[in-house]
Amino acid sequence: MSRPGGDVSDEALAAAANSGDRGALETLLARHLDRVHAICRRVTGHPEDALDATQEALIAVTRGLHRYDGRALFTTWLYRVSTNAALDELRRRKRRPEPAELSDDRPPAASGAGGAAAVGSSPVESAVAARLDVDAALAGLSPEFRAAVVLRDLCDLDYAEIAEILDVPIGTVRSRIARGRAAIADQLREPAAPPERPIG
Amino acid sequence: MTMDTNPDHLDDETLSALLDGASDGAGADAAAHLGACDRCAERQAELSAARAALAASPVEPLDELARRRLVAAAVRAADDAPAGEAAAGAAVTGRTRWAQRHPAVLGSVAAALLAVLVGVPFVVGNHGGGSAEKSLSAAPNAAREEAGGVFLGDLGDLTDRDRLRLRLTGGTAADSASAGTGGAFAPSEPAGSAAGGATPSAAAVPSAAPASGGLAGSAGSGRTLGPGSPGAPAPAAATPTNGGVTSAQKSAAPTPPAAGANSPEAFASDQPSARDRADADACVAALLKGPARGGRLTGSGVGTWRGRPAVVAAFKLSGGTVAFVTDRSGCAVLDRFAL
Repeated sequence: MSRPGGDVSDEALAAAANSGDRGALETLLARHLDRVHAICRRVTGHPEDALDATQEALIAVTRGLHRYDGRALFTTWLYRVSTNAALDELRRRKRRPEPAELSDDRPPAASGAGGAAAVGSSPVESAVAARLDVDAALAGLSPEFRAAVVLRDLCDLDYAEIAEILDVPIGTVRSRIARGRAAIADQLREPAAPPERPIG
Repeated sequence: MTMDTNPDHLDDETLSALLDGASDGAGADAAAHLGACDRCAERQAELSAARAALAASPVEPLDELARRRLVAAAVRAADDAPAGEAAAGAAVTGRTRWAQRHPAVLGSVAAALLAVLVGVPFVVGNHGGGSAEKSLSAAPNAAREEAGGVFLGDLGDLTDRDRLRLRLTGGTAADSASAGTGGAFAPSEPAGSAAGGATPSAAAVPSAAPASGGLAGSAGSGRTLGPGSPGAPAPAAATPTNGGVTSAQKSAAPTPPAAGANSPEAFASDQPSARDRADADACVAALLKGPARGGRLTGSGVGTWRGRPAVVAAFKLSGGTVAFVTDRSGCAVLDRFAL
């Protein structure tokens, strides 16, 4: 699939959007929509919450674009906005009551059949099973740990970028990623025993 | 692999950082240890598997319609943000969300304001002798202006140009005045409520009970971005969220109406849904990039055109006001005519 906007840089599109070029803004948003959604999906752990967060993130981008000064990579700023939108969505979700029946929509806990076997060693590599496992594993992490892990392993950002996005020291990023991965590794290995409360 | 002879095993933080090539100054020593320690190598393999699982696990892709809605809603939000709010950043988002979740409150406030703005001149007009005519004649024009860009909900058959002209130009006022809430277009009109009831066109008829829900509703259903925007008709039993994909996605699984309500089908036709609004907005955005470029939206709605789900949108262009009927899913223009 071709990249929206071709070779035009994000920063150039952002500048054009800031000067009122609606097409540039649409191109910029379309170009990064999938990544924004992926961050929101992984951090919130729920498809519909992810859509809410994605929408909030895009709106925050459009309304706050004038504050992007071009000194940092646009993606760094974008990921910060997206991560914050996802974390905000989680906070909102905590505050609102949730009918019991909706829990069926939540990713089920990893089963033995789709647990560690689905990670790496399974010849089938079922995308659905793997996704459920990862969702269940991530659900055991506190949102801040989850965000650090997602930004590293999904967005492939380095520790310094993650530190900037999360506004924490690099040492904290390093610790959160390690503890997050460890928790995921433990849950993928022992799927039947999820932690009673989020780590972190 | 060598035997585990070193009691000073590496912790998870070090092993994880080694995976990322982000080890600190002790990286060389740690790497050397790793090469000689089965236990640490095994643990690092577990951490690596966790990393790989997350990186390899796909996220459900967004479909094209969802993508369009998300982007259109965001762009529209930028257009609608007042200058003062634009600088507020995240706070604006929070406020928007609040507004979306409290449409009834904001609708009531808007209704009260409009009741004062329209109702007072009307009352004064009734008792003010010569000034009455002036007030009453000005009201419809003001109300039509107010109706600019309004979402009119489900307009039914979109092949009838004359009827559409009436609706899109605010001509419904006459219809509403004579037919009341059960008039010819009643199915598309939500019942007046604090959350945003009757269409804005009702505001053009101050004689139709200015203090009633009809007038209040007209205020609430003024220029709104999405279903949850202040005063926008909120689908009963549905959680109003943003005007983009989310609401539409969530409404994909229709929430059954409250006990005693009509069938879901009837409900859908009586209440402008978030999905209707989102689809209309997506096509409005597409039209603004194409045949309606440079125009100003004066009204939009959904319906059917020769049996196909369709969207209608009217724009004030340089040569006059033009209505476009488009396919609802692809936004291809099916019909266009001057108003």
